[in-house]
Amino acid sequence: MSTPATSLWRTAWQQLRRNRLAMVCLGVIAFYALVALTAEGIYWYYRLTDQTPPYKQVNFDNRFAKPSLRHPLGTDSLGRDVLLQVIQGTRIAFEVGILTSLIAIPIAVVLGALAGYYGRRVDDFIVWLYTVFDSIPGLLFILAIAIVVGKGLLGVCLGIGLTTWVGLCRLIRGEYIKHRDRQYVLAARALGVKNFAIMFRHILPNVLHLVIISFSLRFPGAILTEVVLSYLGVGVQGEPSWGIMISDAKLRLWQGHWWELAGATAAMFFIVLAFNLFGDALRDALDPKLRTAEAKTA
Amino acid sequence: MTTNSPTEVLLRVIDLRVSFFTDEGEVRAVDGVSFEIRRGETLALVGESGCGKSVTALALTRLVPSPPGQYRGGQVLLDGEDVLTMSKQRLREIRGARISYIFQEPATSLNPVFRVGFQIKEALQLHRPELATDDEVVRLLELVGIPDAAQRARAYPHQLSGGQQQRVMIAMALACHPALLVADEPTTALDVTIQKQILELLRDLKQKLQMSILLITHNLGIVGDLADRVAVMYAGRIVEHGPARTLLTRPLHPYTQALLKSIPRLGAQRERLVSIPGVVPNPARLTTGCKFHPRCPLVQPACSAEPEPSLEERDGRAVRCPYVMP
Repeated sequence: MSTPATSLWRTAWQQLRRNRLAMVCLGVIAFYALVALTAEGIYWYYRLTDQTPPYKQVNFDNRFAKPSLRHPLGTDSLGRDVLLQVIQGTRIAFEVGILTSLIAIPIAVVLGALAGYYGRRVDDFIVWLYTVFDSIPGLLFILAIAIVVGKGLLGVCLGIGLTTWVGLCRLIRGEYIKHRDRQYVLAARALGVKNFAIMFRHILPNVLHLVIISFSLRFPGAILTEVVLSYLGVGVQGEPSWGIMISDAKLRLWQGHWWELAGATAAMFFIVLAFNLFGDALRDALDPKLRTAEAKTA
Repeated sequence: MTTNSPTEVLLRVIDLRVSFFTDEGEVRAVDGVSFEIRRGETLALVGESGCGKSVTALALTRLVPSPPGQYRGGQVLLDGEDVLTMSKQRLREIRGARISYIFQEPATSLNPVFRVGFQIKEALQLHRPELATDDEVVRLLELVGIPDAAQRARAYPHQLSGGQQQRVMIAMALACHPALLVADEPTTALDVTIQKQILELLRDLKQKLQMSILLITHNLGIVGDLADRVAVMYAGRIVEHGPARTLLTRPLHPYTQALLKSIPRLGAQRERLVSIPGVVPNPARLTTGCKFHPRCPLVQPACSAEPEPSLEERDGRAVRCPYVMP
């Protein structure tokens, strides 16, 4: 009885720290985040001082330069440095990952909570709503939104954000249905707590781990979707994103100019892999019930 | 607010009816229950599982989940104000502040992700924000007999034993000085030794704080320790009602008699423990006439005839059976 009070979060963190692979992945994610932050700084510096940033500086005398000390990842068809573009691509990837989460997660949590807690007609309506969203082919829906809002980062983020909340919403709804009949909810009602406070102050902390797991698992999905959209030409405009780089580079691959494609693909590969592995480890640490279920089936 | 004389009625329940609407049709969980609780008094509501005692308890602050539950009639007058028709705003002011609850399973009644001190503080913030301090939390935990209260306040619910969890629940319930504490099977999930401690705690607190208690239980054995009066429920109705002492020593209704005989006693080894034949009736398909007659040892041919016998009162005792008049 004299053990120090440990919260769910601290226990999960302790478990996560013992998982070496997860820690490596977290390191990779932290490194990318740092790169993205630096890139953000570079972007704004050149934008505010109204100069051409180095990753956009065209040099026709130095087209398709092979990787060298001056250009570790070579240069592209306009003689721009590929490494600097990859770094800017990281910035775009993180912006997409974070912005889409900022759109999708609040929608999923609020609608899922309302549907699960109130049930009946509220539930019917929200289930109908997400079933409709879910029955539209995702990529076409994103393309439609991106075209309506206009090509570019905002269109991409809105498109991805507005179409990827369904899975988490379903999950949250199910958890709320489970929790609304728990006795601690009845006890809170018996103390005179308002419904909204019960929903978001009492129940939400009990399902928050799902939100965090979902965040880390949807991040790579958003990055990949952005790449696909940019590849299809409705993505980010005028800025070097990984998708645009891959799209440009594919035409020149047969000429033996592999470094542009390799740079962008490798950058994407490692962050997506790191997020997926870390997301799984996070789920194991935060959702013990799931872990035992998996152990039983294994 | 009215004055605090000992004989004054705090809560009066008149002909309360609560139904659940299920696939089998209307289930009358509570069907015409009336009772009153005076200030400082403990009333025990006794009956088997499914007899409607918990629903009655929840209905006192309109906590019956709706749907499927629905209030079909009656009044719950708290200081003369009808709980069943008041605004939600007023209802929230009453819940926790005038009437508060402790439930059967202390382990699940506490929110698993918050420290217990925080949860008590939240109860204070709702109704007595000026008192929502760490000192008051510690004082409440000490009041309910938790040792080393300042440190225990920082514990999470799963780090406490069942008895301590229930003490925390009691501290939460008492935080805002309710006039009535509804204890719904407060000891059922606990060990026998802990049961006794919790009951003693409730008895002490009742005297200290001058509050009324509605004790809901299926265990007549613990009623005698705490209750001033007892109401026995069967199939959504009160079948017998009277002062605890006389009701327990001289039960009138055949159902109460059967319940008392089914309590195991120390030192009575050779006596066979009596069980009540049959099962608790399905409230969706009740018989005509007296609802207990299919299981009654004293059943008469007229028992199945309508109308159902009414609750006849004499000398402070009431019973719903024409053959065992008080």
